Amino acid sequence: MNSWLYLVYFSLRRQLRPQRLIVALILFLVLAVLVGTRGLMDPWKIKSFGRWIIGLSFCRFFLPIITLTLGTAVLGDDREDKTLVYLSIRPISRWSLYLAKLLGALPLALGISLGAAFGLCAVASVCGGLPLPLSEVAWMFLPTVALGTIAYLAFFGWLGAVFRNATLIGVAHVFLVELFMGQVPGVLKRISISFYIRCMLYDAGSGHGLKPRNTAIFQPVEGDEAAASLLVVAAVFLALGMYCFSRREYRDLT
Amino acid sequence: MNPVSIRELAKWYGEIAGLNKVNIELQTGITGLVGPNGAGKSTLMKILTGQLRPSYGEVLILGEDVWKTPSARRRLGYAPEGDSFYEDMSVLSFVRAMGRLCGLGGSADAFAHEALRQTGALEFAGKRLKACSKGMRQRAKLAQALVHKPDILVLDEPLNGIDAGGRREMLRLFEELAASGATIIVSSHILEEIEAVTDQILFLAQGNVIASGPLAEVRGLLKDHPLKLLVTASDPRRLGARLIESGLVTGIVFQRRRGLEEEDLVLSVPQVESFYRAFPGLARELGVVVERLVPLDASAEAVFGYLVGEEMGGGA
Repeated sequence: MNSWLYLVYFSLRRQLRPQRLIVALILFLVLAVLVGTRGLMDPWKIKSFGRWIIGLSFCRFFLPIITLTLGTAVLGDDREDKTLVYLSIRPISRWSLYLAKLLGALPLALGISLGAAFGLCAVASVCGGLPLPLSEVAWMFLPTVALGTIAYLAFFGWLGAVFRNATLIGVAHVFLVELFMGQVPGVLKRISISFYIRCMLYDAGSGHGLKPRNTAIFQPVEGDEAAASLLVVAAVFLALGMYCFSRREYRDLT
Repeated sequence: MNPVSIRELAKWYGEIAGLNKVNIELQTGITGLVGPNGAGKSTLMKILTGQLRPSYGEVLILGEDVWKTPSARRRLGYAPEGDSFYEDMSVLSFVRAMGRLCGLGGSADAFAHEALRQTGALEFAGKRLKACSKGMRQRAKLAQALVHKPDILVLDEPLNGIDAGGRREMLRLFEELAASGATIIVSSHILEEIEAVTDQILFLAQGNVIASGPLAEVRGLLKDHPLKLLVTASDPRRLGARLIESGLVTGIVFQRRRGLEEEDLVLSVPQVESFYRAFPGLARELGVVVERLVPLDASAEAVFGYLVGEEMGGGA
């Protein structure tokens, strides 16, 4: 247990690479400038802010990209640097090694996603005159962002455990499944994580007119159902990642 | 119970056999692992350290299956061949972190210092790994393998990049560790290094253990490749004739010493042990004084060359 807890801490420290944080910061600044500029010209409403900024720009672009970077790096960094050997020879079972690595990445992923989402809400409040106090706006969106982060991280972590070119596959997934398929009418979009995130957002902002443009086409699920789905997605991909990592041999460790 | 038991071990990469039904029982002390590239040395070491799963058979480390029982790896230290590190860490923090991953907890710092002292890495403990020379990095790698004081050490080419003085220090360290009861498995492509610290050598080729045991014994098995012995004696012609007559040698070459009239004998000896038993009596019987008796090709390199040649159906 002692060595496992240390591995969680060790993995977290390894994730704190400046390049990664700079990418997140740049993406956040771009979004923040967009939110601030638009807010100064035409004040934000909860509905428009929730749909275009949190629902589209943040949850379908910023969040997948950040979690893709962190999730695939859970094992990818060690495979690329050929340092996985130093972990795999320790008296830690392989499934728990994977779990520790993923848990090590989780605080950073949550810190970045929640911090950025809160920052955008703050910019929209200050520059865009959102009609609600910042705390209320944040409380409306942050639980969705948190669950979305966990689900995406588990998914991309699993990709990293299974595929050597997980980043490329992850990028393809973001654009094909999360962005493109998320727009397709019917139930096919339900295989995307972003569908459940949007359902949660619509449910949270329903009191302020935040809803799908065409409910008949979008066919949303209830907020609780969406939250449960995201948790199930996270749990399933976490379990899959642990299973795959425990079974798989990595011949390129050194 | 032997520290390391390898039973019927096979490892397949698709249709290619990395290891083929290997059976080895290793005792405490140093065992050298020798073989050309692709012989299966690294595969064997990776299976021994739980990085690869055997396709068939089992590997027991102190009675426990190292793939199935992670706790068995607590008693195992491994220095991989690759030159990969957590480059941003200092040598000390790297070794300490590896110690903590082995469950050393708060005492990891003291253990790390001890391992760095043993490997001669203490003087550059604060240096970042990316700023270290190849030799320093090798020492750091050895230190992380030693930090938790394992019973079994698996060292893949541990002396690469270390200068001659450093190599002697490292070999001395291996001998000390072996003397204190550790089981050390060392692979090296420089056979003289292995010969210097152990006579227990495993010869691998094409995934098979083609010979094992003390070098001299292995050499003795090579009937088709008689041992070449150089003999300087007071009456080489008479001695040579008697040796041929006795059947102890299968060939003799008289070799004139440079600038001198005297000749040396180069004997081809098929049965080394019988020869060594009979030779002193025979020389005494003839009244010949033997000044020098030197094996010309008993080095591990020569043995390995013969063995691989035989294994592949050819001569060396």
